[in-house]
Order: sequence, then structure tokens, then C-alpha cells
Amino acid sequence: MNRELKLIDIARVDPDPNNPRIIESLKTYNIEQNRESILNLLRTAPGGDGPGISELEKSIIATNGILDPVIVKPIDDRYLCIEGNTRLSIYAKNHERYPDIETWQQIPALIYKDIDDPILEMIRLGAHFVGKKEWSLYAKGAYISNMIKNEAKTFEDIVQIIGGTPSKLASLLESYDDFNTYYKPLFEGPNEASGGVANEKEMSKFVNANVANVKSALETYLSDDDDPKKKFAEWVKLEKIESAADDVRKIPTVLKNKISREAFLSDKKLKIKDALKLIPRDPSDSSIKLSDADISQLADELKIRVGETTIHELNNLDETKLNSLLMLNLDLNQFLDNLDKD
Amino acid sequence: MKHSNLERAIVKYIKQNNIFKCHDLFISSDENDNNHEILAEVSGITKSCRPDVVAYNFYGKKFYILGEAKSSNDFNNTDEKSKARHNRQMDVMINALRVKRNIEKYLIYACEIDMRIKVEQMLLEKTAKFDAKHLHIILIDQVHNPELF
Repeated sequence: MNRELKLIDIARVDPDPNNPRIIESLKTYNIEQNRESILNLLRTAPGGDGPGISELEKSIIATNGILDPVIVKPIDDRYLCIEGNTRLSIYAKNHERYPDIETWQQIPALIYKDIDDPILEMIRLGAHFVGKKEWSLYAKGAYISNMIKNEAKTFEDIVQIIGGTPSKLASLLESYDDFNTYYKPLFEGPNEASGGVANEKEMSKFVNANVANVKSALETYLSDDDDPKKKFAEWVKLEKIESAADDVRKIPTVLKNKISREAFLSDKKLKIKDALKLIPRDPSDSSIKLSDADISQLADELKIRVGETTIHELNNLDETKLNSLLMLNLDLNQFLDNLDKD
Repeated sequence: MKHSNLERAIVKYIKQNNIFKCHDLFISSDENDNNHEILAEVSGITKSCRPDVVAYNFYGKKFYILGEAKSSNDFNNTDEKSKARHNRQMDVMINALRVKRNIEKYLIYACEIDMRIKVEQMLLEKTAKFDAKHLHIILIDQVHNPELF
């Protein structure tokens, strides 16, 4: 295959009108298929599971250009972008804004000459279905932690390169530190006899434990002599917290209630999902009709019910029930937006 | 003085202060990064607020900072709702810091000089009420300090 790596004038590269992210919108809204409208559409079209376009843009700006060249095919004296259309649209926008800045005048591109359709499809599928293997949470934490510890970069530098919100990166770094400081040692030294190794997959539980309401509950309801992070690591090791998605979010409800809290903290075998079941419903409430219950009684009951529902059950809820939940969420958000938050 | 100027002064104060100088400083201001709500139990009730500034580090001697900017206009507002909001914010931040272990805890308030005594008095009363020991309180009122404002 004939390939060449080159810097190409941005004005000579055209976006692909057959890009799957925009092809439907072009048809549905009958958008004129010129270079400018396709580039605009690429900047607003919804992305996949990866970072959003603003995060990608921040990262490209921070690294002073793209690190991965786009892939293009020559057509007459111009080029068609086969892979990297979003990056092309970011370059085009910045070139329009800052025509004198060199970074945006030319884009690094891998030129595939004499490319046929099957190879073209292969490149697109390879990039968007398989792509690069994303690092695990643990691997990401380890890499960033190492960069900061070796003082090569500050926390602020890394946020600029990666893009996104600083709090997400902070949570990753904190969770990585918690995993290594509190969880790993439970499998080392005198604890080795208890068997097993610290599974890096468990790090997602530590990430969820750093969410505001869980963190606050751990700090508030454990005794002053207990280190909340150490306690949480022990619960993970004892398998009291089995699922990162379902179990960690139950912690605030269980710890807030005296009966479930005391049972959960004293019984090494009691799992969080079973501790949740110990929360007594007020016996006087059993005679209360739904329509007579006050808003806090309804909210408390709903909190317990949501805590008892697993992600699997949620995904299998019938449409009517799911719709009720979604509508409640919308209504509540709208309602609570009236609170003074600052 | 605008609220945003006071908020920026807190960020500058933290970045310039030698106590907080480190490679791993995480600093997030509501103006730039849309801070998350923080939660705390205040006399048995879970309450929340969104601090103007949150900063902490990850390695070595650890610290945790919450910062709040209060303009005189805002603080002098006698409306009951506003008063309740200032009280709630202070209660939540003091209690959120109070329960943190093995870490140096700082609460920074930035206000104009005419508000200093009032804010300081309120902070002292509340730290005593909640028995918030080991909490460093910093008040920034140096509106004429060109390094901060």
C-alpha cells in the first residue's frame, strides 16, 4: 500500500460526507453538502462513548496539534479525509479563528494513494469499532500518579493535556492512591496467609467511594478512631461490597440508619445489600396511604427501594415503570433547581 | 467588589502561598470548573452546598481547603432566605471539614474589609458550636493587595 506522511494545507482537505456520524443528519435535515456545513455538522454531531468534542479540542490545543495524523485519500488536487474528520473540523474551526497561527494552517496526514473501497472500510472499522485499547482505571491512575510524583508535570499540566474536568482526574488519582495505600497492603506481609491478590478491577469501587455522598457518609458515621478509607478497603476485601455499581451507592443509606449501621459495622460477614434490608420501615407508616404520606416519608421509602434495585433489574424494568422513574427524575431536577445553590 | 473577584483572590492566595505549593495541587473554582456539591451532616440532617473553591493535594503532608467568597452586597442582604443560605453554607463547610481525618483542614473566606468582623464572629461561633477543632480559618480582606486583587 502506497502511504506518505505529510503536513497538508487545511484548506485542501475535505471532510467525508459519508461519515457515519453525520450521514443521517445530512439526509434528514436536507443540509447542503458543502465543506463548511459538513465541518459544522461534525462539530455538533453526537459522539460515541469517548471524550466529548470540547475535551478533544482542549487536549489538541494543549498538545499544540494532533498527535495521531488523520488519514486522507488524494482526489485530483485535493484530499478527502477518510479517518479523523472530527479532528479536521477542530483544525478548520481554529484556523478560521486564528489564521496566523501556524499550528492550524496545516494538518498532519497519512496519505493513502490508490486506496480502494474495501481497504477504506477496513480503516474506518479498525478505527471506530476496535480502536485503541483503553487503559484500565488502575493503569490510568498509575501513569498519572507517576508523572506527578516524578515532578515531570503538575496536576494542572495534566488536566490541560487530557481535557475534561479537573475533578474527574482528581477522583481517579485519589482512588488510585486509596487502592495502593489501604487495599493492597491487606494482601501483603502477615495478611498474605489470608490468600488472594489485590485485583486491579476492584479500583472502580474506590472511584465510586469518592463520590460526594458516599465519601461524606464514610467520614461522618464511622467512629473517630476509624480511618474511613481503611475501613472501606477492608469491606471490599471481606466482600461486604460486591458490586461497584450497585453496592457502593447503598453505603450512605445503610450508614445513616442506626440499626443497619451497627449491624453492618459489627458483623464481618454481613453484606451491604443485606444490611439495607434491616432498615425498619416505620410501623406506624404501614397504615399510611401513599397519598397521605409526607414528602420525606415518600423520599425515604423511594431511597430504600432504589437501593434495593440492582442495575440488572433496572435494565430489565418494563417501559411504564422506567418511564415513571425518568419523569420523576426530570420533575425533581426541575423542582430542585429552584433551590438557592450558591 | 464583585463575587468573582473575591473568588479569584482565593485561588491566587492558595497558589501563591508556600504552605500549599506542591506539584499535586488540585484546585477547582466554581467560576471555571463548576464545582460539585459537597455534603455534610449538620446536627443530624444531611445538607449540601457548592463551595466557590475546593483545593487539596494527594501526596506527602496532605491538606484540604474549602473557600467561599462573600461580597458585602450579598452578605448584607437582610432577606431571611439569604441569611439562611449563608448560615447553611458555613455549617456545611465547617462540618464537611470537621469529619476529615489525618489531614490539615482550611476554611478560607474572602470578603471586603467592612465585613471582616461580622464574618469572623460568625465563623468563631460556628466552629465552637460544632466543636470543629484543628480547623484553620483564613480570612482574606486585603482588597488593596495587588498580588491578590
